[in-house]
Amino acid sequence: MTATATDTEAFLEQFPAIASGNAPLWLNKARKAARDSFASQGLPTIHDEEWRHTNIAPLLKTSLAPAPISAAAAIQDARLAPLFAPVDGPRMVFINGRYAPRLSKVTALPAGVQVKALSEILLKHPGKLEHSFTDVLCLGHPFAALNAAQFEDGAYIELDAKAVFEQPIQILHYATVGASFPRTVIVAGESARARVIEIFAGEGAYFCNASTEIGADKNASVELSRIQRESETAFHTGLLQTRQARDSRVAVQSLALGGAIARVEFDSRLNGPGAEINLAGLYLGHGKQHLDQHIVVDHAQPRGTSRQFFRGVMDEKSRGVFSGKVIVRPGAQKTDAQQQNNNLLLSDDAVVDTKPQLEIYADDVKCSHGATSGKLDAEALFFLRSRGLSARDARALLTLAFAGEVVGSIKDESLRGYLESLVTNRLKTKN
Amino acid sequence: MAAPLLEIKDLHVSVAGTEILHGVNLTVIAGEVHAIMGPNGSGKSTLTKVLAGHEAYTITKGSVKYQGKDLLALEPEIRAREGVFLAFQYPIEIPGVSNTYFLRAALNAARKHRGEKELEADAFLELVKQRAKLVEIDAALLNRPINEGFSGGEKKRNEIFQLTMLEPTLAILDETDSGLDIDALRVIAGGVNAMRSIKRGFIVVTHYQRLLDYIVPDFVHVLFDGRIAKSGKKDLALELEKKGYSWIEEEIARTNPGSIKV
Repeated sequence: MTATATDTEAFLEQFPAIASGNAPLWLNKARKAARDSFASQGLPTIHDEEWRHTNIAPLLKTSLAPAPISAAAAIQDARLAPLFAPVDGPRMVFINGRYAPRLSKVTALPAGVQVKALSEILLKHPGKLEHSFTDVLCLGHPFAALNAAQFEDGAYIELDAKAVFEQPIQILHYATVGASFPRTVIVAGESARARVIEIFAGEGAYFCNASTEIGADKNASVELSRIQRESETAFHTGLLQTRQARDSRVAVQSLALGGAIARVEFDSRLNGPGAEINLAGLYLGHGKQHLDQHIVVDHAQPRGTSRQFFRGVMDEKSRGVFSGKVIVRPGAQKTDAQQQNNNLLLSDDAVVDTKPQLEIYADDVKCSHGATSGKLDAEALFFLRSRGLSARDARALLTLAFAGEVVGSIKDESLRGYLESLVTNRLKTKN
Repeated sequence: MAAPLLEIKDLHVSVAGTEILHGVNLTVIAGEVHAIMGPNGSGKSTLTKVLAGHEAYTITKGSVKYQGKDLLALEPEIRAREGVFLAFQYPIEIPGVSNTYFLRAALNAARKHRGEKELEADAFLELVKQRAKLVEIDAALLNRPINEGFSGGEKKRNEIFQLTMLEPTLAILDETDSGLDIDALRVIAGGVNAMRSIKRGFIVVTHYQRLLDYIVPDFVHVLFDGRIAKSGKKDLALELEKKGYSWIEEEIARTNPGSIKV
């Protein structure tokens, strides 16, 4: 099925345009521009090169009218508590894209650290967010344009220069119905250090269209764990944009577990010399899930380092997509970029499409890429069985070992334990 | 005479449509050590893999009884839990799976199978320490993923270490001596000898007589072109060492002309 201009129009009509008298003029303008941008880019189809392997046609068959405000009232703390990583630190909860203070806990922040709702920032310090919308046409990212047009609220995290906050800030986006447009902005000042865990979850059939921005100033360090554990009847599209200044470091762990169709895009720009980004991703599909990871790392300045390490485990009739690109701009000498994607297919009906790409316009660089997909090693299975492990346990052990390498190197033990338990529980239910 | 631990009768085995074993007969009584020697390609490794239950091999004729049960009807893991152990000729590396974690799972699977309680972590670690000493394997290696970054000798030691941990009733060693220097060979043989017992049978597959100086067998069989061509006591190994395998070939040609396919 191909989306036409009529499809795009009908799709967009489900979401009433947002313009508010309280909002700064630039925001209303930006929302309108973003909405127009989405309309002119149109719903992506498999005829668009960047969407060749991901068909979003089923999204058009789902009613996505915005969730009623009242839908949040039924959600209780007890239901959400198990979704968080078991670590101390501030927690923000958004239900259907709207901030839920009664379910959040934001206290005892050290000096120089702000954790607030976007709506509050827009009201009190709108200037802080204007930069977030200067790029609002979001060419190549139609859903990001839609998010900019339609977001209702979001999370704003800012660390002043030299502020260091070791506790991870957890943000939970929980959805129940309709479409929601969570938006998260993370700003780390010079030499600041922040850790964020962003969790996407929910129940039922809905559409979560998320946008996350990380801005890391000179020598700043930001760690983000992005955990997508949506309902398996939900649709998820997410864009993570990172913008890095000189000598800054960004590390992301991305876990894709949920969603009927789920796509996460990484748009990473190393805008200052010596910047470093480390992207580690794991996608675990079963049933008829479709899990797409789409990555562009853009080295604009010299001495940058980037790592992409993505692994997929696809079972039953699931389909995985990895498209990773490294761009090295002219003058970005001494760039060190590595890209690796390995896929494990647990069933004959599972499919994976992998496309690692390098675009290099500088001559003194170190770049490598590689992709594999295959089944569990038959000799390893035989070895484990010949020592007494059941075929099922042997498969589970090898699968877990394959997946575990993505999260195994995380230094924070409690975070690693949390991610490992998500992976283990998921693989246990199927093996 | 005691009931045999293992009884192989007229075993024919094919792989990918080609017959490799053309009727092997072998009986092992608990407490005995049988050496199987033979030139490359005679079917030694095939025999060991078939006994462990590798799927790539098709049994076209014959039977294998282990403790009176039809061994060939059992899944590889059931064979292992019933006490069959194969030390591989080429131990593989398994990234991401810790040696000790896997070994504890294997040990407890066997214990559960026998209706015994699982071994607690403390008792397990104590056993690891004790058995690691037996084959002089560095305890630090054991916490690493299986065989990852191990030298050839360390991998072979690890196989025998697993043997000493799992205490099988029938241990099959497939060219455990290949690629080992004399010191490593002595250590590994020491580990095997420590496990010799009247309750346990060994099949030691080797290309060279050298190993049998250290693991002294009760019987020596020569596997030639998919059949046991000659059996004898330990002296047979010395004779083979002196005369080479061509001696066997000539002897078969003399006593049974036309039986050798060229």
